[in-house]
Amino acid sequence: MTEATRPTNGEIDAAADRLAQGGLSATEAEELWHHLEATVVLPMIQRLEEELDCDTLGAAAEAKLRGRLQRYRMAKGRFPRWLERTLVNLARDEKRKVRRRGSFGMDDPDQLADARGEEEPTPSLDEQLGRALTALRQALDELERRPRARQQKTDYHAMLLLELRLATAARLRGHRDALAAAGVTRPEVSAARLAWSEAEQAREIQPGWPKLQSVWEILAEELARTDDLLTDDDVVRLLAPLPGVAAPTAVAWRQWRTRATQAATEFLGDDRFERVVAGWL
Amino acid sequence: MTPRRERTEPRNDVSGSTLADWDRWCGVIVQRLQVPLHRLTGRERFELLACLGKLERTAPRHLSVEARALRTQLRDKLAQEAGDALADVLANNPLAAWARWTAQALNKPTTDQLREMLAALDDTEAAVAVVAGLKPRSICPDLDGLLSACRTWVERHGELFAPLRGEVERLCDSMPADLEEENYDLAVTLLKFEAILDPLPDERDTPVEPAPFTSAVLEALIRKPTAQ
Repeated sequence: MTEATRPTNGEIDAAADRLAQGGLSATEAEELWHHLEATVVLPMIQRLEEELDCDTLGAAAEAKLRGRLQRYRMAKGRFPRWLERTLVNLARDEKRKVRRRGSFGMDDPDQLADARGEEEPTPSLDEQLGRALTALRQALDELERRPRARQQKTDYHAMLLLELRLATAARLRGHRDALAAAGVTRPEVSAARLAWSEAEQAREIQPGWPKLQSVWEILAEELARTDDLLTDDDVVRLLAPLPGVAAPTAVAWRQWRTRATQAATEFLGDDRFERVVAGWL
Repeated sequence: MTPRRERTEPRNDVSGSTLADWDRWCGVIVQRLQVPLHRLTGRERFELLACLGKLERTAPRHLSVEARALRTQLRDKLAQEAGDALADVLANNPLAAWARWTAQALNKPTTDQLREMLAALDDTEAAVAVVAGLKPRSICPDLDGLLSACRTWVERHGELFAPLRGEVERLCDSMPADLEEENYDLAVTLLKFEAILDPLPDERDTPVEPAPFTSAVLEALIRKPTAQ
């Protein structure tokens, strides 16, 4: 595109606003979108893919950007800045997906908005937390009911339950004073939010191991004592003295954890696992 | 008299921090409000815009009555006098030193150096956001490009700014919840703060430590009894 035909910022904002407001014919909308794509969207995606080292951003943006564009309003600011924020948020999602690290969607307003539809108002943090916990509980209930392969020795559902509590406790580190002021410890908060049924408490990670609840109590004691992360080595060391436990190596423990999340992903599907479970891990 | 923020919000009191010094911002405005814009130096006008941008980004309940009044007066003044006075004001931004700061930041920076760098970026973004609402055509594309590059740098190096997390978290707490939906030019200023509060994982680091919950999430977790 030549200098003479390059659109001004105002023209770009106006084009995005027209597209967002709707009411255009399909052809007009397509033309307008291609115009924006060529002048603003693709150059920004390419830059961010390169600078943020996120080569999946383009694919994620293609799937989500046009839907989100409906929220743009020219009166509220410039389109390139709206786009930058949206794309950086998408890049963050992509990077976090890779490492399965998140915060159950509570700091991702776009993701939440996608899940609840365009028109609903932004829920409070407490509401978001309640919904996230409810969705997680439903998924765990479904996972618990799935048939277990006969030859499978390790109880991957028990591993997942434990992993969720350990990950939540890990994310509560650094808040020792605030927890103390509230009169709770991080394993107590973790266990209260991710409560187990009696049947879940009674599960055994391996045949002959103590019940899951007993395993948790050993680990919880250590979590309450320190403000550190529990590594796989720590967990194995702490569990070794328990009666009936043929102490696994840290490598084996890590494999059980990995297999637990893989099994849950296979059962729930990638999307649901990412949306409902992965953020807690 | 310098307007003071209400003392009923002690969590947001980060006096001494250039990142979140409402008293200083109000002081700058009080000092320059009565002076015609064209009589101020370019740097003074730039600072005035930056202060207004940062006040605009503050939820009203976090501002004193005087600060809110100053904000309105300055808005009116800019709307009336802006014109040519805004044409080149953004050229007075302090980001000429950005390349030097990034080099410093990668080599055992002091907290003050990190804060200076972040405050300079924040000031420029805030000033640009104000100009975007008044005279967007006077924003040079090169400056937009520079700001995007600065933001991306912080995005990639959020972990470096860990010593400022407390200040940044308190500053973010002072902002309205709907900022993202209401003012895109101000909302984009949040990107760097989010990158600092929850840095992106680096694939080369293993194992990844899960990022700690923010204080707000922690409080919600403590409050929330169980799944609904």
